[in-house]
Formats: sequence, structure tokens, C-alpha cells
Amino acid sequence: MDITNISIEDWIKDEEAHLKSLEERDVWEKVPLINSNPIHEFNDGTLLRFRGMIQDMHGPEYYMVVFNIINEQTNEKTVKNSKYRDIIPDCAKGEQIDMENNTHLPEERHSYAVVSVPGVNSWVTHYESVKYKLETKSDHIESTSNQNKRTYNEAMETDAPTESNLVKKPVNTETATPKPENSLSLSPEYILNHPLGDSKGTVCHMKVYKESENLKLNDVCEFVGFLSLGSVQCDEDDLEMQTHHPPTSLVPRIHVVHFKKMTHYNPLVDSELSGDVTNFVNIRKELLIVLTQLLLGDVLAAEYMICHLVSEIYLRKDYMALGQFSLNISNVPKLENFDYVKEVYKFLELLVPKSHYLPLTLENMNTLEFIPKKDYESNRLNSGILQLSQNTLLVLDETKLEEGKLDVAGVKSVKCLAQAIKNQKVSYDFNYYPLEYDCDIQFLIFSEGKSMLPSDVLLPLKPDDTCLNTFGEILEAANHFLKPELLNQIRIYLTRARLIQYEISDQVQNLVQQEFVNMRQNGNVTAQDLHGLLVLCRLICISEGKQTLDPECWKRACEMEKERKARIPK
Amino acid sequence: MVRRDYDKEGENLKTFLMEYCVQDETGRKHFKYVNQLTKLAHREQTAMYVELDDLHDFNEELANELINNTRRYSTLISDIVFDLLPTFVERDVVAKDALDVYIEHRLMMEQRNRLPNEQRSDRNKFPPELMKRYEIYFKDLSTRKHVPIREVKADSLGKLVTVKGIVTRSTEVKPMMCVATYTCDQCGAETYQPVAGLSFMPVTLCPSDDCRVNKAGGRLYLQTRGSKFTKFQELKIQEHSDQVPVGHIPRTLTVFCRGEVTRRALPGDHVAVTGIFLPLVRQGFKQLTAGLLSETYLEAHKVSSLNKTEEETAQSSLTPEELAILTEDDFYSKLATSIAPEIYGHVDVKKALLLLLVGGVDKRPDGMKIRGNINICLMGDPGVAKSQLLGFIDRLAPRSQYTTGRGSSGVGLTAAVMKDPFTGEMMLEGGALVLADQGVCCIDEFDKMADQDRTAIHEVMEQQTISIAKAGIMTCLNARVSILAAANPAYGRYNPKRTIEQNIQLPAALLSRFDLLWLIQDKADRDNDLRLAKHITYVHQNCKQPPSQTEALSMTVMRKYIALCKLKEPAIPEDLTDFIVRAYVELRKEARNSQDMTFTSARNLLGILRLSTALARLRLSNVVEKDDVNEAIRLMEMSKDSLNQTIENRGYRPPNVNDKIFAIIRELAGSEKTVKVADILEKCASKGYNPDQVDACIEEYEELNVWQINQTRSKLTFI
Repeated sequence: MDITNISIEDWIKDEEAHLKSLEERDVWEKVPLINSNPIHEFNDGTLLRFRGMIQDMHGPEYYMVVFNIINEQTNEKTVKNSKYRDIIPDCAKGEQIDMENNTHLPEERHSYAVVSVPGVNSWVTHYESVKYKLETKSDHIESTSNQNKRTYNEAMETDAPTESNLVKKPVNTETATPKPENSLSLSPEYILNHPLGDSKGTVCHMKVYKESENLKLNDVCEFVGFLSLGSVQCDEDDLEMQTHHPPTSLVPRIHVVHFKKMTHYNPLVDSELSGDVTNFVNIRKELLIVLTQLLLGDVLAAEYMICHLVSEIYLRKDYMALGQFSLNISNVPKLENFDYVKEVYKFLELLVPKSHYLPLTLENMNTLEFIPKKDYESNRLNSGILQLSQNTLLVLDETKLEEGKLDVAGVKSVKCLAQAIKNQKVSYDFNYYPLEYDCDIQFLIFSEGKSMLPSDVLLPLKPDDTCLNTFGEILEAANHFLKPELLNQIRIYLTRARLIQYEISDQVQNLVQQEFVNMRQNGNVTAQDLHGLLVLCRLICISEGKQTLDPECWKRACEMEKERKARIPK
Repeated sequence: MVRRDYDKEGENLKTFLMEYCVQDETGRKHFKYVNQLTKLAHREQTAMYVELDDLHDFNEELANELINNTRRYSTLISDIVFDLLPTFVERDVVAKDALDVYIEHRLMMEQRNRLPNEQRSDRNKFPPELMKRYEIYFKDLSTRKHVPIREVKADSLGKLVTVKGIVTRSTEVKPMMCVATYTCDQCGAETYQPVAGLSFMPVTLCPSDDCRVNKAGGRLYLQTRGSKFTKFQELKIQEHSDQVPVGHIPRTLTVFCRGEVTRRALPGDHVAVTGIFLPLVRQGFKQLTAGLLSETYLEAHKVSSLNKTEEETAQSSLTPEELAILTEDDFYSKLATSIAPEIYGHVDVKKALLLLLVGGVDKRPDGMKIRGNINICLMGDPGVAKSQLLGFIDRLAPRSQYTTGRGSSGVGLTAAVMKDPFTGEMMLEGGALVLADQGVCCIDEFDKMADQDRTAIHEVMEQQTISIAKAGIMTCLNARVSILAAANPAYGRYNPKRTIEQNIQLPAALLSRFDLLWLIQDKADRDNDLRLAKHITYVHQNCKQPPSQTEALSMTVMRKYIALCKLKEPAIPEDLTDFIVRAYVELRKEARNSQDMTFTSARNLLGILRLSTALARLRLSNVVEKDDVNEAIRLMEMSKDSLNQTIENRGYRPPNVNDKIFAIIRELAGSEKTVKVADILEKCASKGYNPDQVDACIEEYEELNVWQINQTRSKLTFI
């Protein structure tokens, strides 16, 4: 059966079999993806796919799985199913829901606000749209930005008619009267509530019927479910109703039949276990060349950068997050013709699936919302910049900071950033109490002196004079060097390195222990340093595609740390 | 499911209301509900509280049924009370409000119009809702536990539940119509319409006989004065932060309060709400569109706000498993190691910090105030995790402030007088120490603080108050804080040859106010380092803590236990005073004789008392025992040792335990040739050595022929 055209009734009839067929990759991939297709191209009740991050969790909803319908004339009773729906399915004239004799107990489903993953880079979206864009209405595709604008306008204009078309047989005549769309007093940006304020993002409301306890805030998941476009009447003065039931043209509702958590957001890496690591060393070499040039001839910095790009947290206990590797590259030069950090970021953006560039200007610090805050008026979580999904690269550009006054909000922002970097936890503001949520954001800080924010690794850059003078040429050469195939190889490499199962053999463990004891005898080395070294070892290992720590890696790590520490001015 | 016989249940409930009584001390029977009914009948009380505890006593099954189907029973009881009330009227009822007068008028009218021989109750025509001037509320069983908001699910629909939460939103209290009264413009007849839901459809056509028969088409007009309104308030409550699973958003619950339960809580209040969990019935158009979905709410029966202290006495929330762990033998060291588990070793420092969290007992003999809070100063070379310890305590303590010495001025720590920009009035703004009242104030980089700022702390550390005498404001603020300070040595590293004052450059007056001073040093020690390295590599390899280690307790368990400890007020028994005095004299003597870099003053004696009471609290005991005092003295000694040991380590061989014990025995013996073993044991215990160590020492030196021990092992004789 063609999964793209399945109706809700058919689905419910044989739910298990359909779920099983969904397990197959081909079938799964066939389900149209909302991320790369405008929502108005789909009809009510089609099976769709959406990739997004859980931004907010609304409370549970209670719905009737089945209910009775009485025909007023014939007094005939029929039982109907209402799973995966918002509004009552086709009710013939004179039929009414039997409210009195309802013996069926309501069941629970959970509602989530899911936004398109914040910080997804354009190459990922491009790849997705090439792969999943449906051909049907492609004749009028214009440039992407135009397209997006059109989506809203078109939707706004056409919403009323589509709605009455879609709800084919309304329950009674009243439903057919279209709700005037201009009663919408909330701006699309407000409804979108995107962490990075990305106006191109999409937000969907997901109704999850099972296994909802596995979903956590900021998880990135791929949902498959039925689209529901029926709008819900709401009071205009009730902000809560309005934010929870926005027009479906802006926020489609999806009744989820199945979801998968995504371990990474790299569309180039298909399955996690196709572990061909043989060419890792070569790709790493190529990447090292590019990064060395970009980091003005500083090989050590490039090495650290690679480690940073493959870092992630692999163990948490209370306030200890092992594996965090926030990098502070200080001593960043000021170039006359170039905005150095921005130029570097342009390349990083090409390499990783999710990243965000944030210049730490006074204005940004004072005005931007960093931490999510619960708004009790509308009963939702207003997002902030630090609500990012796992493994998002956040580049903080401190070279943009100037002297001036940080106001109260600014001081708070700095505090939040510092806390997030230190513990990889963000405490969301619930007004009456803060609540801490774990995060796994790779913080990369560029600064002139040592950053005012903490970091795990402080690395003063040692720019090469010739590189400084020829930065323009370097950029061109790097652009030229990164051919599409190589670029794709690097992207796959960076994602796959992270998925390597890593371990320390007993032998090396003994070596490390002995070395540490010796180091202690010789100088001021603390337990924290050993933690740092072991994390670095791991990153060097997996960046070379190795699964176990070997003595060379340990030695390399020690040397790198030694060299780095030598650079830090006392 | 067996359909219940509600008539029979009604009878049961009636007997319950009429006959339930409790006997007070004098043996007199006290009819709880009859009394309430009498008051209701005289309009002296509007809310009738039915305690399910009583009902449970009376008829267990009935109580359980009631919990499962509360709405039904609520109306049942309400009807019974309605029938019973007239029999309770003993005297004339004074009309309380307009509605009372109105009802009285209508009843009188009815009576006048009625035919004398008509057998009809005069109240029949009016809907009971209008006539009922009381409200029925249930009080949940005291044995039932609070349900987390998250656990209130579809299966609790219709049941009585008690939840705890924090109020996030509350609407104004508004009048809500429960009976609408209309008058007809044609015939003048009155029509009543009971309103159950949140909205109602007004009746427009007069249903009275006159109008119907004559087809007059009388129109109805709503009469506000004759309608009955109740107070209505909508609350939103949200889960407490400790009930939210990791990575989830706190859940909220809508609560409808009517009548007497309104105005019980404001946003931000912690409340416990007992109520019936019900689906919201929507009317009209909304019902059709949202018919498949039911919103839910809690119909409140009791809203009580919990104050902070109630919140903290969380013994019941310690689960049996948690308690089992906490009552194990080594819970003291287990609790201690659970402080900052990621920092390896430093057990004694952690023990001291644990005592700081628990705190000693405050005493106020004859107006004099002796603080119970324990102050600790951590010193040490840079990079020995002092700040981490401070940070952990800051997070663990329920009330705490974290500042750094460099960033705080004296004003920032104590209190500032500010001029209000709008009114020009002077006002006080509390600093970190005031804000941390009854908590912990962590001050990092204590040594970097300016001298004049530091003096502000002197008063706080001993008197636990802050006196302010500034432009027009003279006051004394409470600052019952424990101070946890961290300081770096003056010249980068601790120099053991100098005194503490020289090392940290803090005046003795301030230093003596700290009960314990710890010097944390980071010395290379092969064995220790190897263990540390093993620990860390294990963590990295296996992604978990080594199994041999005791599992660290979670912060919430620690917090609960510490809150529990704080409830105890242990006292020092008379017979221990001698012991403590002797120990103190000993300390003084020692301090005089040895080349001590620290000093011993009367404050140390108080310190020992504080530490021992804290230790007793930790055992959840109300009496200080000898062991507590010994442990307190031991900690004191250890903290001194941490300052002094650096010198001893200059020697070739650090004195081992046996040497130390020998020295103690030698000293005890003085010029005598014999020493009692019992004395030795006691003396050594106060120095922190256990009997096994003492025995080992005695044996070793016996082999060396230094002394002999008699057969019964009660006496030592030096040779």
C-alpha cells in the first residue's frame, strides 16, 4: 500500500502492520518531509514527516478514543474512532454525538511544540530539499527567500477557502462559516518562538499518543504523523488559547504515529554503523591543512579545532559533564580588510550541520534573550538563544565587544553563558523557580585577550606574519581547495568520528596512571588536568578513527597540552 | 461493576451526619456534624467540612466509594443536609444578605397564595440550588499522600485527589451565577434556571402556566437581585521543581475555586489542593469543535497554603530506601563523601562542610546570644578545588549566597541605605549576608577583600547581626549565617614557616572567628596520586563511578536529610562537661608548649561545642554523646594538623600513628612508671585514635621492650 496516501481509517485498521512497514528505510523516506515542502501543498489527513527539536511541552490532553454517534431521525447508533484527529470526522446531517451515554474512558495524549532544529546550516537544508522536495508544484518555484514569504501570504489569503474545502462535510452549517483570519493578533514571529529568532523556521504542534515519556526537551526527533488542518475556535482575548491553537496555516498540527530520535543531523550519514574509518587519517590531514591556513599557520590551533569539532559530552553526573571541550582561541588578530572571525565561521558553517554565530556586542548582550523563560500569560516557554539541541556549534565572537555598560540583563546573560560553558547546564526561568536542563553545546570563543567567559581550553593563537598579510589569498585558496567531494567527505568524517565507540585498554590505563604520578612529582598538576588530558586523548583518538587509546595518542595529548600551556602568559 | 444503591448510601450518610461523635477528655460526646448543621441552619457558617477521616472511621467502604466518585456523593450529602436543615432551626434566623431576604419574601408569598389544605412543601417550587445557602467540602484522608501533578491522569477523573504545587496564575474573584432568576414581563411569574457549567443559555420564553395557556409570549428578563451568585476564582498550579523529571517541562493544572475556597492563594504561593478531578463540559459550538477533546480541571475542596517551613520538613518524602541508606553504620562518612563527589579525597574537609550545613544549636542564656552556626575557612594553594567545594555547598544549601571577596564591598555584603529615586525616602537594601540569613554565605577569595570591607563581617560572624547607623536609619538586621570562606595564601603558595596571619594576611580577630581553618594542600604523594589516577581513568573508561566506591547520595536526598537534622535541638548532658573542660585545658596546654602556628582561645571551646551539637544533630539525636565530642575534637585537631603538618614533613620520616600514640602515652605517664590502659584509651580517643590503633602501638612497643603490659591488659609499666 502506498504509504503517502494512506488515510487515518486505513491506518487504524491495521496499525501494527503499517508501523512495521514504516520501519523500512525506503518507506520511511517516502513520507513527505515538511521541512523542505511548504505546508499548504498538503491536504488534511495526509501522512507527513517532520524533523525538529522539541521546544516546549504542553500538558496532556484527554480525548475519546471512540465515541457514539446517534442519528436523530433513525436513532441509529454508530461507533466512530477519533484517534489522530482534532475535529469530528464526517458527520452526516442530523447526526449527533452521544454525550450522555458515553461509557468510553478518555485517553491521554501529549502535545509538544516542535521547531525546526535551530542553527541548521544551509548546506543541510539544501541537501534535504534536493532529496525530499516534491515535484508536484515545483513549476512555480522562485528563489527560496521569495518562496518563504509567499508561503505565509498565500496561506493567509487562501486559508479560509481551503479550510472549507478540506472539511468536506462539516458537522453543521456553523462550522462552515470561516473564521476571519484577521482576528489573529499575534505576529508569526511570536507564534514561531524560534530559539535563534530564525523567521524561516517552521514550528509544528505534535500530538504524541505513545512513549511520550521518552521525549525530552530539546531532543531532536523525526516525527511521522497525520496532518490536521482543522482550526479550533478560540476567544480572541485569551492569549493562552491563541498561542496554543494558532492558525494551522502557520503551525500545522500533526498527530504522530511514530517518532525516532535523531543521533545526528547530518543527512550525508545514513546509518550509524557503516563504519569505514580507513580514510579518516587522510581526510583529517586535508582538514588540518585547511584549518591551519585559516588559523593563520597555527598547526596546534588547528589540531585543537579538529578536536573541538568532534567533541561531545559522554558522561554526566550531577555537575560533572565529561567530554566538554569548550575552546577559547585568544590573541585573535585584527585584520584591516577582513572580519577575521566571521570569515573563519563561514568555513566552519560549511563543515558542521548545526552552528550559530553570535557576536558578543554590548547590544546583543543587553537585548537578546539567552535563556528560555516561561510565560504564564500564554502558558508557554518563550525560547532563548541557549535553547539549542545537542552538538550545536556556538561561535561566540568576543572581538566585537567594546567598552561600555552592561545593564542588568546583560550581566545576567554573561552569567548564563558562563554557567552553560562551565557545567553544560542552562537554568530556564520558570519565574517562581529556575529549572536546570542539560545541554551539549560546543562553545567556541574567539577573543583578543583571555575571554571573560570561562573555557576548558584556552589557546592563544600564534599567527604567522606571512599568513596575516595574505589572508585574502588564503581564503580564496581554501575555497578552491574545499571541493564539493572533499567537503562532503569532511562532513561525513566529522559526524562519524563522534559515533565511534571509544575505550581505554588496561595497558594504556596503567601507563596513564604511572605518567600522572610522575607528573605530580615534578610539578603542579591537578586532577582537573588529568581529566582534561583524558578528554583530549579521546578526541585525538576518535578524530583519527581509532577505537582504543594507544600510547602515541597519550603522548601527543601531553605534548599538545605542554605546548599550549607554554603559550599562556603567566 | 456493581451499581451502587445510592438510596441506601444516602441513609448511611444521614446516620453518619446525625450520629458521628467524638469523645473529648472529659468523656463528653461531641457531635461534630450536628454542631455544624446547627450553625448552617442559623446561617452562622456557610461551609460544611466533611472529614473523610471520620467517615473512614464510620464506614470504610463508604469513604472509599466517596473518594472514587466524589461528585455524586457531594450532591448526595448536599441533598441530605437540605432535608435535615429545617429540623435544626432552634431560633429565628437573622437574614444575612439580600438573597436571604429575597428567599424569605418568596416563601412568604407562596404561603399566602397557597390553599390551606394543599399538601405540598413550600420549598418545592424553587430549585434547591437557590435555597441552599451552604457548601459541602471534603477533607481528604490524612493517610493519603499528595499526588504529583504529573500522576493525575485520566484514571483519576471523578476522584478526589490532593496535589501540591505552586500557584502561577490566579484570576480575580468574580461572581458566578449558579441560579438565574427571571421575571416575565407579561405575567410577572418568576422562573429559575440552575447553572452548572461555565456558561449558560438564557431562557427567553416564559414557561409559566399563565403565559403558556394564553400564548401571551411573555418575555423573560434576568433579575440580578434574585439570582444566586457564588464567588469564583480560577487558579493555575504548577509542579514543584523537584517533581519534574529531568528534561521535562513542569506540568500545570487548572483549579476552579468556588465559594469559601476562593482567595486562599496568590501567585507564588506553595499550596496543597484537595479537589475532584473533572473533565470540563463545553457547551454549544465549542462542544462540537472540541468535542473529542476534554479539558480537565480540579474542582477545589480545600486549598491550603504551605509555608516555607512546612515545605522543608520533608521527612515523609524521604523514601524508605533512602532512609535505609541513611541509617547505615557509616552514614556519616557516606554523607561526607557525597559532598562534591567529583573531588577526590579530602574526607575531613568534607565532614567539616557537612557539619557546617547542619549547624550547631543556637543558645540564648540570659539574653546573651551564642551562635550555633559554624564558620569555616578553606585555605590552600591555587587549583585545589576550593572554589568547587564552595560552589557545591552553594548549590546544596537551601539558602545560600555566593560572592567573591574582590567583587564585594562591605556594603554589598551587609546592607546599603538607598534613596528611593521617586519618593526620596531612605530604604534599606540587604546585601549578601542579609539575604543568606539562616543559610550559608560562601565568600571566595576572602583574602582579596579590602580591609574596611572585611570588618563588616566581624559582627556577623560572632553576633550574627548587622547594625546599621546611616543617614536617618538605625537598625539591626539579622544575619544568622554560616560563613564559608576560601582564601589563597599571600605569596601564591602556603609557606609553612610563617604563621597563618602572615600567610593569609588576615587579622587574628577575624581568623579566630572561624571554627575550623583548613589548609588544603596539593602535595605529590605516590600512593595517593596513583589512586586518584586510577579513579579518573576508570571514570573515563567506563563512563561511570568506580563500583567499589560508595554510591554518592543525590543532592535532593542530602537536602532532605539535612532539613531533617535541623529539626533536632541536642543538648549537652551535665556529665560531659568535665570531659569537655579537660579536653579544652589539654588543648590550651598543648598550644602553649608546642611551636604552634595557630592559636587556641576560648572560641575553640565554643567551636567544639558547636561541632559536637552538629554531630548529634546528624545522628538525629537530642543528646550529645561522648563520641560526638571526641569527633569534634578530632576534627579540630585535624584542621590544626593541616596547618602544622607541613613543618613536620620536613623531617626524614613523618611520624606514624604509633609514634604519635607513644608520645601521648609518654606524656600521660609523666614521671610515673605506670599508666592505666583505660586512661590511655580515653586520651587517645580524644585525639582521634581508635582502640585498635592503640593496641597495635602498645604491642609494638612491648616488643621493643619499652614497656610491659600486665596479664589483664589494664596497666602499662615502663621499663
